Amino acid sequence: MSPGESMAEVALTPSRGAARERTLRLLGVTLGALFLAFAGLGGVFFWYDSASEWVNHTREVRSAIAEVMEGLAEAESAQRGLLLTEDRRFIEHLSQARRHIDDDIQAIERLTRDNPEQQGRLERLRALTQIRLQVIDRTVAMAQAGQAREATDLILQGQGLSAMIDIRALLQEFAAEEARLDARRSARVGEIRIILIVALVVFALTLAGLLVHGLREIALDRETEARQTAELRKLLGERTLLLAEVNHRVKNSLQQVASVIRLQTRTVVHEGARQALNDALSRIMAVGRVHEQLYRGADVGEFDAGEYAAVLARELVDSMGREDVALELVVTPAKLDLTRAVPLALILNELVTNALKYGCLPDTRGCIRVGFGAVDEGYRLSVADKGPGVPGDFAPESSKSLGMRVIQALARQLNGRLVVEKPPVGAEFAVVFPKGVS
Amino acid sequence: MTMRIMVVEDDALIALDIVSLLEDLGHEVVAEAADACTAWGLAEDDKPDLALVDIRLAKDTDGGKLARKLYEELGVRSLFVSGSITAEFREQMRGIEPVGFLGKPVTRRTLGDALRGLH
Repeated sequence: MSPGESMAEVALTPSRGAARERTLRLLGVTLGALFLAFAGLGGVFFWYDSASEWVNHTREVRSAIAEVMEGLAEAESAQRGLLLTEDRRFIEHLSQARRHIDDDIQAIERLTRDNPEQQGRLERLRALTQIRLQVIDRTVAMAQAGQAREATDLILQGQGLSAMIDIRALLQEFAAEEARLDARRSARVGEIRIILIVALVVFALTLAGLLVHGLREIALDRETEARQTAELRKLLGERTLLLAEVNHRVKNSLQQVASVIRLQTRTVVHEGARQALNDALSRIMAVGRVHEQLYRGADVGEFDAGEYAAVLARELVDSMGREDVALELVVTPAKLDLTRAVPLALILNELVTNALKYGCLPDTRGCIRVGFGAVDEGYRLSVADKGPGVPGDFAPESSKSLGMRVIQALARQLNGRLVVEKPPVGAEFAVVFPKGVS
Repeated sequence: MTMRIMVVEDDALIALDIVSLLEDLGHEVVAEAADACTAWGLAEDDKPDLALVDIRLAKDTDGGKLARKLYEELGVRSLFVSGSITAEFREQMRGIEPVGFLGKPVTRRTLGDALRGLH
């Protein structure tokens, strides 16, 4: 597969970003749904609660009605007891019954405040109860005054009895109304209970649905991630292979160029022309060595100029076959932008070639010192020899040699300049260039 | 010391250059091939002292495999010449006593150094 195709493939797969966004949206929807469902459930629950409250309320009213009836029965029983036995303890019973009745009527009044119909009945109940209790009070008073006969007569008049009959009817009416309310309210509670159950079921189903959906989304996301990782890994593998391939081809092409020049050299008889072709070959080899050094390194954007200068100088001297020359290296490490590697290497090639040619004459034990390091103005790459030195009037600007022109051109490319030192012994050429790339 | 050498290189110009360099160095080139199959046939007939082998050869053949067969069946050692020689490849070839691994571009000097001391 070509790299172009694989790029397109990666671009077509759903991006992780979109998957994340989907997941976030799902989370938002889930939270919203949960909130609404909670609010709904809470509402239904309060509704249910208040409906149940009303049912309880009705039952309280019904029980208070029964209590009133009981209180009246107690009062009557006390009246009878007193008339029959004339025991004074029944007076105490009577007043207890009266208190009960008062409390219960007050309770009914309080409980049925919302119901005007029942309030109306209550008024009548109060009046009737009053009559009934007055009759009882009067008979009790007569009995205590020793007028048992008159008391019996009063009872026989039937005023208390008819009031009591009315009270019974009224309380039955009262109870019937409350029973109707009770039935209605209980039915309501039943309905709300069904609604509550349905809401709970819907809530649970929604929750389960969201959970399943969420889990599926997560699985999908994982799948996408795995697929993309695999794609990227494959792409990286392809890129690595491609880089190795390009690297291989560059070196093969340099070999082809070098081979052609070398073959050409064989056909040339003229010594000057041969030398020129050999110089060209050596410059091509310098480019080859730069390539070898740069692409061997782990960093892609930078290179260590100090180490690089040392390795290249060593290779250069070895490649010239000058075992008689001692190489001294004075380099300090410095990371430089990769764009400056080739000019530096070519400068070094020219300077070392020059030093070997003019500074280390054959059959004399020559010595070359290659230096690289930081100086005030930036960096300084230098090559010194212990040869006869440069002529007193030597000026690189006016030199006609290709080597000097190449060095100066490359120094300008680095925004630097060539410096020619004239030490007491030998010669030193240096290129000084600024640290920053501009 | 003169050796009878077989050159296995798929690029014609590079092959021509290498043959010239070897002859300059005083060796005899007894066979030239661009792919592993042809190289194997020639090696069986000519029995060279040494094979100079590019790793990637014509017809998609593999110089490493060729070198292994040459060593194991004919006892012929190889000098590898390639644009990319990985540490992995060096490790793989350790068992067949390669003469050396030369990176391209090759110079007269590097080739001469690699062959020096062999006989």
